Amino acid sequence: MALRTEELTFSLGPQHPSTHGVFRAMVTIDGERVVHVDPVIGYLHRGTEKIAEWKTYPQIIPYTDRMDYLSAMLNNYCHVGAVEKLLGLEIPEHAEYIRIIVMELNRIASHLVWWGTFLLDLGAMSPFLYAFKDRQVILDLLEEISGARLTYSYMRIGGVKRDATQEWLRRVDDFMDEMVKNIQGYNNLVTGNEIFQSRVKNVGVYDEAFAKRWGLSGACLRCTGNSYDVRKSDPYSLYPKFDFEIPTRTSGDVWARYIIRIEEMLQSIRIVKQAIRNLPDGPFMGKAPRNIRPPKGEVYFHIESPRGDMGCYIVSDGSDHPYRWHWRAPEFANLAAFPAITEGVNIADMIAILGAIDIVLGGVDR
Amino acid sequence: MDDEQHTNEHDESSDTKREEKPSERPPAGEAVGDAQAPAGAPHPESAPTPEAAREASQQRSGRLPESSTSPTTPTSPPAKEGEKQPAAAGSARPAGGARPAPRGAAAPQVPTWIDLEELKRLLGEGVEAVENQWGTPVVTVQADQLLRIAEKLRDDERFRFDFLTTMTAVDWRSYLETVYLLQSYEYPTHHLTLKVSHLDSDNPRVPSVTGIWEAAGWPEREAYDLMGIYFEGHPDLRRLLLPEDWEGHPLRKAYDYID
Amino acid sequence: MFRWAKGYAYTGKRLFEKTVTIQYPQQKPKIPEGWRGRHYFYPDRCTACDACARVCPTEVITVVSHRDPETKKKILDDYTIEFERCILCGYCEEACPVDAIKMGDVYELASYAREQEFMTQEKMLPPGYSTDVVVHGQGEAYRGGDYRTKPEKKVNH
Repeated sequence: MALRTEELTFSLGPQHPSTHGVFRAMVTIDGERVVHVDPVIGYLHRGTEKIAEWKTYPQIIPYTDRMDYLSAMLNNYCHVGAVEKLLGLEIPEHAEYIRIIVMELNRIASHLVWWGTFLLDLGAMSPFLYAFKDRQVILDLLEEISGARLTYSYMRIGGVKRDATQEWLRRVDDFMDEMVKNIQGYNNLVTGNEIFQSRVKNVGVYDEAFAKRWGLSGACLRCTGNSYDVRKSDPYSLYPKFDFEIPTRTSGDVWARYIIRIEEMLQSIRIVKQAIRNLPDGPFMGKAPRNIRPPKGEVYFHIESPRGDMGCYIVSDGSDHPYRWHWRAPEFANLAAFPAITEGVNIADMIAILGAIDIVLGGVDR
Repeated sequence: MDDEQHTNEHDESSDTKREEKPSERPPAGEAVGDAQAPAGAPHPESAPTPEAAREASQQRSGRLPESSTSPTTPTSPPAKEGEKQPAAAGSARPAGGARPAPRGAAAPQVPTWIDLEELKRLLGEGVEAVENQWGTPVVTVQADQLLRIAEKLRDDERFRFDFLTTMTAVDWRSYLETVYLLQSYEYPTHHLTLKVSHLDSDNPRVPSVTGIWEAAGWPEREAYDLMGIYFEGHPDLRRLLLPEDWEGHPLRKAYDYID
Repeated sequence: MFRWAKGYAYTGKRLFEKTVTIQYPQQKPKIPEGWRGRHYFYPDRCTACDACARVCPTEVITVVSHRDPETKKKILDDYTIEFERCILCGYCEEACPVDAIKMGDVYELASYAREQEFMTQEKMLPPGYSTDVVVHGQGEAYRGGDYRTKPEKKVNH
């Protein structure tokens, strides 16, 4: 005899810990199965694109901090890089190396938050504490060089705000060695755990064609075997000078996304160590005009953020503020595919899938 | 306090605005010219093609080549130097050659992966203009040809633009414009900007490209929400970021945001 | 099979680590140099050049000044920051040619009312400065409240 079932619609969030911020999903379930998910976003919408039309190019930098607040350095760089592309500026190598160091440190910090909170979603408490302890060391380092803990505003059009001291570089280098050991510890603690593995393997599976159709990027794309990473595929900054690999997996499930992010942290450590070893002398600020007035035109500049392909589209009208300023947030595109991935999965798996997308609502809503 | 250190920083920091001598502010071309970098390509896509060399030499002489690359561009009078706000009419378009080129040979000023003339020929009818913006071809198409050209760009062996990075809209005061930023997973260094321009501000309607790139779903909803553009054929055209009962479209230039 | 035991071993090892937390109200965190806290303002150094007000992204700084009829130099009348809207980006500090405004080390920013977040010169005095240096200039000073009634500034729009 078939059981008579009834669909139930409920609201997940906007204040639920597993939604990482203020994300709300209207979920329709049939028993344990998810029938349909309708994401509701916009709770953190601050109209940054509108604000940017009224600010001069340097004044936009603090606003980019507040979009994807876990990767503020990379947001800074994306905006600054777009303006530099418009102006055709050349950045001193020393400054570019420091930028890469802080960006990769920020990438590690961002992945650590993801690692901790993702496992918190799955019900593991202590990884969160370990992750935040290590992240705190990185934040202290970045705080020291930039002056703030999260909203760095460190990049400048033409260079960076302050130079890194030798002492600071030495401490970063030491911590990177420690971090390699810590990640080994994380693997012992979580990655090898059978309960965890059975929780994430073969969950939220999609193939490469699906990922391409939905315009996914970052780990959400590389879990399907595609090795698209802007640092390698469409190189910017000095990344071609560095020796690192793009971790990929082919299984397309949450497990693959997890492993890729863990390996990305190790690759970022490699980049930071190379950058510190090869750091050339030179000025930390290049020649840039005092009044940033780019020529008329439009430019799109994209970088690899911890969450994927992040881009900044600027339409300049020749004045000191942009005519139109648009932000391509990777988590926005990745989250858009969330309803399609979760169709027919269990509720608990839906949380794992959402966690593995690695959303930051400040970036989604902008 | 770290007075000395700070003073040094100040001398080198560039983004500060000084109060003295406002007349010192040079027009954009000059300002950049001062800081011009020596030749040496910072961007990897600037492969030295003969095309690039020709264009670059023309830039050194002051101007971009006459719009041989975009013969069908609606010729608009070049905007005045130092004009602050774009004028209301079509002259606000960033015409690629309206201003002296900002810098010398170092910039990757032409797309290296395709010739603009060839691109125009390959896309066929419905192409209004093809121009070059910092090495990215910007193709403006007619709204009724958008779907055909988009599909061609996605499927054609020559293009393979299967990655719609984002889609947005620009309000040029007298008309609206939708912008599709395309990329290819197969050839990641290829970029192309697709545009539908001169949309009626009061009733802007564009065919939705969700059937071609599913990634367009949310960006189109965002453009509907913030710019008020109707995407015909979109499966779920609702407001995305703002509440359902919001009035107006905030990213329009005429939007009154104070009250 | 016994991979979970590795996890227990790791947790056990971390159990005996040095504590990294501090007992906050009793213990104070170490503030690195160049940190961006609440401002200190040096009225004796300020030349009323308005550079900080113009570079400020949130337009919270108000410099009131007048010109000396003889020397044609600008004289500071009042200097205020609407701190509730300040985003602590540090641009004012960088823009100042005479180091009259500095980002300080004050991080306890909570207050009981919005009005208390309005920073006058007295509230921004650096440690060791007496209130004698506070400038009481002529003219109307902006005292916060509705930002639409704020005196018009020369902002490059």
